[in-house]
Amino acid sequence: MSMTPGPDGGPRSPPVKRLQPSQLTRHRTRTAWLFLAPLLAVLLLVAGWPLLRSIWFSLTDADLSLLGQARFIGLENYLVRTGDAWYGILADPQWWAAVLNTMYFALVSVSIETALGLGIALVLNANFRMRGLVRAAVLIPWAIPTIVSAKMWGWMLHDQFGILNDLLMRVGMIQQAIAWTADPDRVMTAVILVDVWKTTPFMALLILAALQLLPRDCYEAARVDGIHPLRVFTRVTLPLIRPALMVAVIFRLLDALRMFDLVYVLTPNAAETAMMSTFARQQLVDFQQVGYGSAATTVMFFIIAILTAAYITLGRVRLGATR
Amino acid sequence: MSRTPVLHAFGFYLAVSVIVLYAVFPFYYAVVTSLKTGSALFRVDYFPFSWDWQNYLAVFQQQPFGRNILNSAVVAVVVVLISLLLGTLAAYALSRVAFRGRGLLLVTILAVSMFPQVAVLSGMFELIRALGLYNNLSGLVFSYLLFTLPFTVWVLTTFMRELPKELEEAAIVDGASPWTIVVRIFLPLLWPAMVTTGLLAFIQAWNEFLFALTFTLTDEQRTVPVAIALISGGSQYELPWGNIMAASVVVTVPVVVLVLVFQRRIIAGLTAGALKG
Amino acid sequence: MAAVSLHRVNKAFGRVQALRQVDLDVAAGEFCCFVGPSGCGKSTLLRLIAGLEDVSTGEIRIGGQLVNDRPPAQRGVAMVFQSYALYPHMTVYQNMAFGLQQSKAPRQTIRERVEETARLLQIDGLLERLPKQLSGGQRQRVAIGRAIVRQPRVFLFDEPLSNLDASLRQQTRVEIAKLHTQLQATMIYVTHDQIEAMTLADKIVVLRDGQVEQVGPPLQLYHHPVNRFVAGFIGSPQMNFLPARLRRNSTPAELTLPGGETQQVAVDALALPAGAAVTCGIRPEHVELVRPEDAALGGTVALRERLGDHSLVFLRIGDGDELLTAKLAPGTEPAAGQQVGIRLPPEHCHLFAADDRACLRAVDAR
Repeated sequence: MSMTPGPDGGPRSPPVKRLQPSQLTRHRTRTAWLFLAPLLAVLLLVAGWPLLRSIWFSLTDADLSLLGQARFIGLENYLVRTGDAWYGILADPQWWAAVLNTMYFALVSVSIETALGLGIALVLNANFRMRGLVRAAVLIPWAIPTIVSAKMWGWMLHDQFGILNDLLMRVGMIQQAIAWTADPDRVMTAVILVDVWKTTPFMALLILAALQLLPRDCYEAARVDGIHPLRVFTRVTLPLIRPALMVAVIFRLLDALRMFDLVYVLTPNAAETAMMSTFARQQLVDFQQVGYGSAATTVMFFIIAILTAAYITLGRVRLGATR
Repeated sequence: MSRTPVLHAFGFYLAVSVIVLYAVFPFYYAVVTSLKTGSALFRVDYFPFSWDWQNYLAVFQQQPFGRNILNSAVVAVVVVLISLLLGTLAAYALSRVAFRGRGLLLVTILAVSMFPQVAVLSGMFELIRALGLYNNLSGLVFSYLLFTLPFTVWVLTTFMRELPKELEEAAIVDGASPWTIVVRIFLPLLWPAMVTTGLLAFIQAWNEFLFALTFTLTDEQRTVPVAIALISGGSQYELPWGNIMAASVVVTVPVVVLVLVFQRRIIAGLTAGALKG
Repeated sequence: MAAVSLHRVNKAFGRVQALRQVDLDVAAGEFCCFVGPSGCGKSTLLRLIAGLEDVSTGEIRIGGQLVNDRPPAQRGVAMVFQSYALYPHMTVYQNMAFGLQQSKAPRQTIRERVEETARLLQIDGLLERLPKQLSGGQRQRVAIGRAIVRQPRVFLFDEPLSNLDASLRQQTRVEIAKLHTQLQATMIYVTHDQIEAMTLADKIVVLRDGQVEQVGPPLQLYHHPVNRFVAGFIGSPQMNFLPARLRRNSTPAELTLPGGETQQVAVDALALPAGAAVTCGIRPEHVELVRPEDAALGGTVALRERLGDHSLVFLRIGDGDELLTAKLAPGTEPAAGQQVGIRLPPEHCHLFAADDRACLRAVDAR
C-alpha cells in the first residue's frame, strides 16, 4: 500500500477488493460452460461411465455371458488368501510377467526411437530440395494402421519365406533362418523392431519441430567462433531441446505402455510378449472373466494414471520454469 | 563451410536415402509380394518380377473388403465431424474465456486422452450392448469418441489460443455474440487447423483396432484393420500372404496419398498437440 | 453524441492496482486525449469505458446512463484498435457492415451508411478488397470507417497511429482532426505521443501509475503543469530542470543556482520555507543566449543540432554532467566550444518544491 500523498495532497485510499464479478464476466463464464456442456456430457458418457463401470466390475465375479448377474466380491479379484496360497491379479505371476514385458518393451523401444529419431531429425533439419517428399515418406510408417505394419513385417519376418532371414543369410550374419515371431528368445526383439520402425518417424518429426524452433543466432555465433559441430550439438542443441524432448519421450512412453494391436497380430501366442493390454483382453474376452479381467485393466489404469500425473506435472514444471 | 563439400553432400544424401528406404521398404516389399501368386510367394524377390493382380481380386471376393473399406470410411468421417463440432465449441471456451476451473478441466481432458482403451473395455462393452449398438457402426462411432474428442479439443484449443485478441474484441464491440464470433470470425481463420485436426483424428479412427475387434461380430460390420487381421487361408497354418499383402497395399495407398498432400499440416498438428500442450 | 463521466473508478488485476480513484468528465463532442508513459493505465482506462474490462469499483456513465453492467455493444461506443483488428477474411465492405448486421439493421440502411462513410474517408473504391490488399494507411481508414458506420455516441481510439510511419502519421492526424470537426463527435484518444495529444485534443488527461496527474486544455498543461512529471512530459524537447535552493520566498521568488548565481522566478513561493531545496524548470524554447558578460549564468556549448527550422544547443553549466537545452532560431546558434551567457527570463520559469508540486505561476497562460 502506497504511503505517498495523493494528487490532492491527502492520503490515498487503500486498493478496493473485488466484491463480486460483474455481470459481463458472469455472462461470459456462463457462455463458456454452455459451450463446454456437450463435450462434457459426451465425455462423461463415453469415458467416465465405462471407466467407473469397469472398476466396478473388477469388484465382482462378472462373467461375459452373464454380465447382469455379477455379484459383489470386494477385492477378491485383486488379492485374496485361500488356504495356503494367494490368488488374485496382484498375486498372478503371469500378470506381473506381462507388466514387466510391457515396461521392458516401452523402455527399450522408446530409447531406440529417441536415438534414431534424433539422428533422422538432424538430417531432416537441413534445407534440401525434396525435403517435403522425404518428410512425407517418413510419415508413412506412422500413418498406416498398426495391423498393416504388423502384417507387412510379419511377412518380412517369416521364418521360411521372410526377406529378413534371406538378407541376413546372404550377408552371412546367420547360418539358419530365425523364427522371429515364434522363437521365444526372438519374439520381443521382433515386436520392438516393428514398433521402432513404426514410431521412430513420429519422434523424429517432434524433435525436428523442436529443432526448428531453436534460435539461429546461437549457431551462427558458434560458427564464427569455429566450434566443432559435435560440441555444438552436445553443448548447445541438446540442452535447448531437452524440455521438448522430455515431453515427447514421456508422451511416447505412455503410448507404448498401452500397446495392444502389434502384439495381438504379430505374436499372439507368445507368452514372452504378453502385454498388460493383451493379458487383460484375453481374460475379458477369451476367458470371459470380466471380473478378473477388469481387475487387470484397473491395475493397468492406475499404473498409467500415476505416470500420466508425473507427465502433466513435469509439463507444468517445465512451463513454470520458462515463464 | 566444410573442407570437402562434395563428400559432405554425398554423405548427406546417402543418409537421406537410407532414411527413406527405412521408412518405405516394407510397403514396397508388400507391393512386390502382392503381385505374386502361387509358388512365386515361396521365393524371396527383391524386385517385382511378376505383375499378377489376382491377389487383389481375391481380397475383394473372399470377404466383403469393399464393404469394410466403406465401413472404416463412414465411421472415421462421422467421428471426425462430431469431434470437430464439439471440439471447436469447447476450444473456444477453453482458450478465450478465463473462468475458474479451466486449468483443471484442461488437465482432465488431457488425462482422458491417456486412458488405456482396455481400461474401459468391459464397461464400454456393457454400455454398447445396452444401447443396442453392438455389431453396429454406430457403436464404433460412439466408442471412438473416447480418444478422438480429447485429442481434438486439445489441438484446437492450442490453435485457437493463437488467434489475436484484438480481433475478438473488435467483434465484441461490434456486438457479436460468442456463437457469432466462433462461426463468423474464428472458423474462417481456423479452418486450416480444423483440416489438420480432422486429418489426424481421421487417421486415428481409421487405424483403430481394439474396439473394432471387440464390438463387431460379422464380416459386414467389420472395419479394415480387423478385416485384414482376420484374413485366413484354407488351413489353420497357412496364411494367404499374397492376399494379405494386397489388402495392406489397398489400405496403405490412400493413406500415402493423404500424407503426401497434407504432410505439412499433419506435422503442424502433431507438434501442436504434443509440444505446445 | 454523449458525454462520458467516470466517478471514483478503480481497477485492479489481481494484486496489481492499475487505476486508482479516477474521476473524469468528458463533455459531449469533446476530443479528449489520455497520455502517459507505458504502463500508466491509459489503455486500461479506455477499455473500461469500452466495456472490454470490468471496473473493480466506481461508476462509468455514458450520456448520463450508468453502463457498468452493459456489454460494449449496448454502450453506444465504437473502437479503433492499434492494430486495426480488421477481419482478415472479409472485404472492406463486410468489415464495415459487420457491426450493423449484428444490430439487425435493414440491408438497405447498411448499404447506404457504408457507402456514405466510405466516401467520407475516400475509400469507396476499395470496398471489395480484402485487408491484406490494402496499405497501412488504407487499413487505418477502414478501421475508422468501421467505427463511424455504427454512429456511436463515443469514439474510442487506442493508439491508432502507432503502427504508421512518420509521414503517414502526420497526414492521418490531420484527417482525424478534420473528422472530429465534421462529425462533432465525442472522441477519447489514447496515445503515448504528447505531440498528438497537444495537436488534437480539446482536453488532455495525463496519467502516471494509474493516477490522473492533471486534466486540462493543452495550453493549460503547457503553461501551468501542476507537477514536475507533467511539466517534463508535455513539451518537446523536454523542459530543463535545475536544482536550486530557495533564497527568498517572496514574489517573485529568488533562488540560488548550484553555481551560486541568483535567479528570479515569477511564482508564488510563500508556502515554502527559505532555504528549501527546489527545482527550477524552464523550457528550451524560453532559454536566451547572450554574451557571457551580459548574464550571471554562463556555460559552454557542448553540442548543437541544426534541424533547419530551429536549432538545439546543449550547454554545459559549471562542472556538472547535466546539459541545458536551448532551442534557438536557425542561424543564431553559437559554435561548439563557445562560451555563452545564459539568461532565464523569470516570467518563463517554473518552480517545483521538493515533493515535485508546482508553485503557482504569476503569469497567465498565453
